[in-house]
This record gives sequence, structure tokens and C-alpha cells, in this order.
Amino acid sequence: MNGYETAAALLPGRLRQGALALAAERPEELRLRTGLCPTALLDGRERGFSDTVITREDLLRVLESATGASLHCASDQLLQGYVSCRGIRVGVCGSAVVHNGELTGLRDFSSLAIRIPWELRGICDGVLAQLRSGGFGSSLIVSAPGGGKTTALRELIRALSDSGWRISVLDERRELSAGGEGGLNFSLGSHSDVLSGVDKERGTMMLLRSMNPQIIAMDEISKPCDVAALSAINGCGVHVLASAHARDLADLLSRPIYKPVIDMGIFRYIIEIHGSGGARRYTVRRLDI
Amino acid sequence: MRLAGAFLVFTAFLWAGAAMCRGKKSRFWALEQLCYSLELAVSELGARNSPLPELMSLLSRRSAGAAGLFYSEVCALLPRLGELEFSDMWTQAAKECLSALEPAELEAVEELGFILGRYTLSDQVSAIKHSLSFLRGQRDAARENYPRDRKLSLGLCAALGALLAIVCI
Repeated sequence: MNGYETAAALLPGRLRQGALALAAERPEELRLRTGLCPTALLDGRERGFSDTVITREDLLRVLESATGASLHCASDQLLQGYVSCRGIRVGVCGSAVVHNGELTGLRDFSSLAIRIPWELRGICDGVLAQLRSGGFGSSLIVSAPGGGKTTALRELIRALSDSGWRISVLDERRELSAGGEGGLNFSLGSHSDVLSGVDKERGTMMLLRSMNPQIIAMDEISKPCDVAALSAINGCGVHVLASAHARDLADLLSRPIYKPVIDMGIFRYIIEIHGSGGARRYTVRRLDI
Repeated sequence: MRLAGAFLVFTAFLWAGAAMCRGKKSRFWALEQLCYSLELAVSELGARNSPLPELMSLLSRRSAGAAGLFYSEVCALLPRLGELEFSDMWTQAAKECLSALEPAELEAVEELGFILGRYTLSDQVSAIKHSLSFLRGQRDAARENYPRDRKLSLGLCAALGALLAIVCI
């Protein structure tokens, strides 16, 4: 099963056929909202794929499939608003349960967004050629949410690893490798080592101590502790491949969390992704000239 | 000929009595194993936060008899998750494998299928404990009553068989 079939398999049977009929158009997400018909995100726009109205039972059923009927095991992920399943991230909305001012859970689920991982070989060949021609250095992939950062990062890791770079992949949410039992097991190249399920700050130290990497790759730099992980790598002679939410370099520099990362001079290249679906454009900007 | 017929009638009633005893014994053993497995489930969920597929697999290996078959059946159905709800699998397996239980006992087991894997860990553990407490009571009563029930079933059937045999002769 590919990523899309795996994602469609999470849906209740009466919705599955409608979703599978869209496979050739490569949807980016499947979205379910209680009281409304399900939609698929295609080229940045939502399109309905069934006339069936979604009920809360449907959402529970998807979550049951996604967690192997073990919602209690995904409570930590749920607190962060998602459930990870075989490399697929299911975003969750509902009512927050707060005890003594602290978020302790989610209930009364109202919406789910099933993000589809695609393995698109060759999409970064042009980017790779530019990175190589300028002398490879640490690179940060940026795009708006849903812009294809993870897919591009996965492809860059695979291509660099296959060309001989020793890469340690810090796969905090198991989206890059989609490894584990029943996972999609995306190829990350022949010289990659994957550490999954660990936060970036701790994982970085583990990899630096134990795996002697030439490159450390990680998805979605979004928290101060992720920036701390980058600082730890900086100065160790290890390159970084990472991704971050920002439309472009200017947007990146305008965000307080990312500015220090750029100021530290960790990254030599910023790879911007523009457009959506099959019309994505990749722009490489060199920072140190 | 009449003698042979009377003998057959008597034997049939004795066999029916033995079958009733076997049924009571199976129910007791099923309750015993279910209670053991649910105690194990409470520990596994409480201490290790085990995912249900792992838990069902462990219970199928660690329980004997009807309870072991029940968990094995749930494990066999689990790959159909998505197509079937967990509660449907649980109910289907319970109906197939725990037929020795009385309706109220079966209902107590089936109710767990609507809670396991769906609610918070503490909700699941309290639901198991609630069913466990009911099933333990039933098991203890079955254990206590078994010698009396066995004598009663065998005695009644033998007496009825003997009576009919005499009538036949």
C-alpha cells in the first residue's frame, strides 16, 4: 500500500471508495468535519468526495483505526493536536480538557485532517545540483504549511544518502521514515540511520555522541528547544538538513524564533518552496555570499 | 427388547446429567480464566499503558481454555480494524468463544468492548475492574455451588431415567 491507500484505509468503509477514486490526483489531505461532507485537499483547494455527512462516530472510528484501537497510547500526541499512524499524521480538533489550568486531553472530536505522505523521487534533483555546485552546506527548507517540506526533505535525505553522505535522521514524529510495524517505510537512502520518537534536543545529543554523522536531518524546527538542538550541532562540523514554517526567507527573518538561527550562521542555503500540488517551484538562496 | 430399551433410556438420562455437569464446569473454568485475564489486563494497562493489539496477544498467550480462544479470536479479527469497529470484533469473539457463560456474564464481557481503547486509561481500568468484580462474584458462586449442582443434576437425571426405565419395563 502507498501513503494514499494507507490513509484511505483509515476511513470508514462507506467513505473509502470515494477517497480512493481521487488517488490519481494526489490529494494532500483528507478532511473530515462532523455535520459536513468529507473533502480532499487538491492543489490547495478542498473538494468533496462523498455526499455522506460525517458523524462523531466516524471520527472516533478513524482514530480507532489510526491508534490500533488504543487511543490511550496516543494521549501525548493528542495533547499536541495529532495522532501519528504508519507515517501518516492525523490532525485532530475537538474540545480541550483543562485541569488546574493545564491541558490534559481532547474530547468531543469535531474535525480530522489526514495528511498524505507522498514519496516523490527526483523532485529535488535541481535543488541538489545547485547545492552541490556551491559546495554542500547546511540547508533549511521553508514553505507555508502543507507546502511539501517533509516530502522535499525526505527526497533530499534519500538522494544525499545514496550519494555517500552519512546521514542521521531525527524523526521525532515518524513522518520522514514512516518506519515501524505496518509502516510505509519510505526509503531514506543507503547511508541513513534513523532515530525516531525522540525530541530534537535529546535526539541530537544522542546522535552526535553515538552515530558520527556527517549530516543530521530533522523536520519542522518550530520550538525554542528545536533551536537549542541546532545550536548544539553548530560548531561540531556536522551539517544540518531541516525544515521550518515560513513562506520565504523574508518571512523567516521576520519571525523571532528563526532569526537567531539565521544569525548564528548555521545554514548556508535556504530552499524555498512555492506553489502547490504538481506546480511546486524550488528556489535555492545562498546566505553566505 | 424392553430391557434393552429401558437400559438405553436410563443411559441417555445419565449422559444428559453428565453433559449438564460438563456445561457447569466449562462455565466455571471460563469464568476462572476470564477473571485471571482481566486481572492481567488491569496490570498491563495500568502499569505499561499497553496498546490493545499487544494486550490481546499477551492475553491470548497467557489465558487457557475459552478465554484464550476468545482473545485469539480478537487478535485474528484485529487486522480488520477500520472495516470493523473494535467493539464489533470483541462482541463477535465473545459470542463465538464464551458461549458457556450465562447471558448476564456475557453482557458484562461485551460491555468492555465499547470502552477498551476508546476512553482514558483510568476509565478503561475502572470498567475492567467493574466487570471483573461481577465476574468474580459469579465465579465464586459457581465454584461454591458446583459440587451441589453436580450431585443434583446427576441425581435428578438418574432418578428420572430410572423411573422411565421402570415404566418401559
